[in-house]
Amino acid sequence: MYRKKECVAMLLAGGQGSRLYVLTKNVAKPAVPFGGKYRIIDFPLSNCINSGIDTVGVLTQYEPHVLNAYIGSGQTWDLDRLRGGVYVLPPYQKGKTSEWYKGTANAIYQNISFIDDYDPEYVLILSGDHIYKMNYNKMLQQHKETGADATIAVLDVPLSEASRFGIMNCKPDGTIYEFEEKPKQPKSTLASMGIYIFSYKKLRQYLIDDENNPKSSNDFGKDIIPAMLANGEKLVSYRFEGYWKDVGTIESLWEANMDLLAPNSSGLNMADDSWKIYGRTTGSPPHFTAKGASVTHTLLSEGCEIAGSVSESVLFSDVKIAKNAKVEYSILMPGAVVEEGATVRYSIIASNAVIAKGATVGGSPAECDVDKWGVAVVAEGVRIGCGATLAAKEMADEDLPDVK
Amino acid sequence: MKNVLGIIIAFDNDNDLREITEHRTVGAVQWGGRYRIIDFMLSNMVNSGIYRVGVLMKDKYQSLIDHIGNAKDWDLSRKNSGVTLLPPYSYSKKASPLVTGEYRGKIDALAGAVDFLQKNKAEYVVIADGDIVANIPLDDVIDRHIKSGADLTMVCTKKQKDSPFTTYVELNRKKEAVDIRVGDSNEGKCKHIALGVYVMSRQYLIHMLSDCVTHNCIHFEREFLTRALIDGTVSGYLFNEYAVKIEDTFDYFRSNMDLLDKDVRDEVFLRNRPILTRIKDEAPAYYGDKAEVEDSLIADGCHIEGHVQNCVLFRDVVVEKGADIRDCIIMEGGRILQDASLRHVITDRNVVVRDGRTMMGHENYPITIAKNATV
Repeated sequence: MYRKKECVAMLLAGGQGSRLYVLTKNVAKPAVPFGGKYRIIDFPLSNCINSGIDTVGVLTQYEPHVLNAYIGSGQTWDLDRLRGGVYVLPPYQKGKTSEWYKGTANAIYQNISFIDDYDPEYVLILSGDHIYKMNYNKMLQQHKETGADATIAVLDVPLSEASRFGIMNCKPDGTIYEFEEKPKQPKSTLASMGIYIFSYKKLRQYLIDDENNPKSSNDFGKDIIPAMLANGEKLVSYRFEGYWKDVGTIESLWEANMDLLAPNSSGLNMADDSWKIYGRTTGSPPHFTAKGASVTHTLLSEGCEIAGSVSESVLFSDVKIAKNAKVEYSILMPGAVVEEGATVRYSIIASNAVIAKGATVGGSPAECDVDKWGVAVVAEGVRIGCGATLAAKEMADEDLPDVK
Repeated sequence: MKNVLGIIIAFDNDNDLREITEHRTVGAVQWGGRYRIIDFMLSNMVNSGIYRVGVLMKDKYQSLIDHIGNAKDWDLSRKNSGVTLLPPYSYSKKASPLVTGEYRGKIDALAGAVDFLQKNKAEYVVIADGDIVANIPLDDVIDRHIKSGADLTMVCTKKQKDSPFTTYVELNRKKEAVDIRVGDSNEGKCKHIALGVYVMSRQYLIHMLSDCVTHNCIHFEREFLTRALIDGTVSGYLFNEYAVKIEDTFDYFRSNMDLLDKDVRDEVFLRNRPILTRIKDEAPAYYGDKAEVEDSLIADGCHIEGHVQNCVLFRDVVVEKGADIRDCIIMEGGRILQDASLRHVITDRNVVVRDGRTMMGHENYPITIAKNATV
């Protein structure tokens, strides 16, 4: 079957996301729940289909089971296609060798034959750890118009934060002349978003050369982009304006969820139908808010049963909050339970965790030293015993016993 | 798994939901915040391992066809089985000698599809009305039917209300039907009612259809069942969990309100037998700073800033600041604008209630506002 595609997307989803600690103990970072009914990977996948890109390779390596099952046939994102669609691409044994993905560039290198099958003009490289709504097609149009060899999406960040990012130093026409990874003294505030479009012929050659260079760390940011710059290839920046957030840390994941509660100021609006984000649903009934419950400034999903008080929070499907329980500024993932009299504040409660009667989890930044404050995290399935306390910034990886 | 064919009667018999069924059949009516009534029977079949399902339609069926689509959401888009939509005039008289033209009732509809019944190789058939809200283990009904050796088994519930359309059943100790009557319980002797779910062998169904059509019998409950009772054994399967047949606006209103009771929700929504419906990909529901919500069932995509009490809100409903709605059912896309006030009102899809409007129905006579209307 003739399968030519103009543009194929390759989504790097193999990272562990170690800075999410207990939240990525059993799942890869892209599979971490986000926003009440989504997982992080829903954003790039939905962006692809909304941008008209219907062929996506998802490169997996770390804890792939949840991700594999979640992607399934791709029907959720309308990516179950006769030609193209979504493919999960784990490392595999080859003729003489077999090895893990050594780096982002190596992961693509190992799947050159997959890309070759579609004979594409362009390849879009994405990562599975960012929350944003973006039309990749506009970026592709610019890539074609400028005749660039590579186009890199950039975001204008505050100068004070610029040293946390890979910074692209550009000429006024947008051409990139220098790339600096986490510069101490940034010359510009245009940060790389980790989204690249390459003309495939060029990329293919660079990947092969990179693989033959034993000194290379096989990474796009560290090796491929600098090599292309050194060889005088045409690299152009693509200015993205809109909400974008790397949710690689507990704090940023918590903040991004909170941003959903203020769509007008944050710019992240899930209810905007013109650019829908798709995610698998659970098939639970609508949520129920009982007599005596108080719910304000909160997102709730199907299957929730709320009898207590909830404010400034994001509740995923099938969360139960009992009478006299109090939840504030928190994220409760699917199936989490907060029993009577328990208090949960400034916390992330992972799937099916139980906060038993009278337990206290997390605390407000106003009540402790700024240095000591942080979001409290309870790992998947963990039970915080009756009357037990988990202070701000602490993480519970195993059950806490009841306190009498 | 046994080889069973499911048939859903997806047209209105004696149902009258006023404005709500003006443009659609009762099976296509939204129910319980995110479902359509037919979702229950489709899910019951799939949850019982029945993957061959015929849907008999008569009129006003576009809404139903749009809803079912390729049936993927019920896992019924399959290579060798799945859903078969059976509108009227599906077969010619030559192909199917029992075709009578326009349906006068269930018997005509089934006879009109006798070609479909004959081609199918299933041993048993479940015929179910599409207006039933209940989570029924049909696999168990079929098992009991086979064990009992009866010619026909029907799902019965305790008598709930009296209506001229109710099929009353008197059962003996062996749970065999002694009498079946429509519209009258024989001074209370019939303690059960037939819900509208029947199990029999496919051969028996084809034989009975031929018998009924050639003798010009039209009424399934009066004639088909009575013939079955006289010539053989009709067994009752007692179903004691929540079950309701949606025949009129009052049934519709009351059954939706029943869902505000946790016990009812626990009987209808079971984790291992989920009620499946079409996926619409809404964002989660949002409650604003001033939202006050009590005893209400609320679907995804809703945006609530006002006061909501004892209500069922379907997907994508907006309740603005100062709006006050109590004992209401607001179907998909409803918009209740600032300071509007509603009591005992059912609004059909995409109704807009403008600022400050007040409408009041009564528990016994809820007001219905037609689809796409602006008040």
